[in-house]
Amino acid sequence: MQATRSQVPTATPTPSTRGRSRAVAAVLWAVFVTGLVIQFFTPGLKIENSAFVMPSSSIVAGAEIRPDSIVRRERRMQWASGLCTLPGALALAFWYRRSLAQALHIGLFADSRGTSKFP
Amino acid sequence: MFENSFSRIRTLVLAGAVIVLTFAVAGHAAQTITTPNEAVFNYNLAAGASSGAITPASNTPVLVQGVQTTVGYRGVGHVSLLHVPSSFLEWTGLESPANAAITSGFSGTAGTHIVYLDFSHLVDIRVNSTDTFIIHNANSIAQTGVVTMIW
Repeated sequence: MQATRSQVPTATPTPSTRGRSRAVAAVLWAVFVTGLVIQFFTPGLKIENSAFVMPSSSIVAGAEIRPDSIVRRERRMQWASGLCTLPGALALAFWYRRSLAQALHIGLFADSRGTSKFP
Repeated sequence: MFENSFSRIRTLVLAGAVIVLTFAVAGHAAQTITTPNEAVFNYNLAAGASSGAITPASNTPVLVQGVQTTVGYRGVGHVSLLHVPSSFLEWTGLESPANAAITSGFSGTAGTHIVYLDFSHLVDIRVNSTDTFIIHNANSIAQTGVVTMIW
């Protein structure tokens, strides 16, 4: 005989495990937000026809521009941003998988009174 | 009940926001990483004006090509260029029509002509320093065009 979900024993969270759980969640959020912050601080070069468009303000008289270093910096920052954001989002999805599954399941299959159609 | 529904909505909205942000960042990162080393400069120079100094990549072949788009003065020219840091720029290429001809040389002296971009040979790329070049408009009216660099 299989045990139903309500019969499966669940560990009661102690203050220490709850604190550790919060710390892990905070780290995951920090990684994800770091990726967004890096993205915000990239040079923000526009790409048109598979080429980086240098900002017109950069070639006014008196200015000096080094396209190869700007492009290199943009690439590095985009790498770093992607490396933080994507794994951060996946880790968050894994960490909150129960909440997500619950929200999706009940949200999608609940009737108008808010109760699940499934037993 | 309301609190439960609110909690569910909040979770879904947050998850949606994370998904949207992740796709936006990942997409932008992928596009940036896969774009080749090519830089585009759109210039619009007043009569007698010069652009800012442009430093090409060092010790690697750099293809510099430009077009002039002002009606009546349209043209196209290009050079392959070598930048030896703190020493000089060296180039070889083809001037713009009319009378397109080979252009080649090396110099670190400001003002040395590299390549013409327009039909009247009044807009050119010229040496600015041992490490940089500029686009100069010697015409009496404003000129517009595009210069691309591939390295």
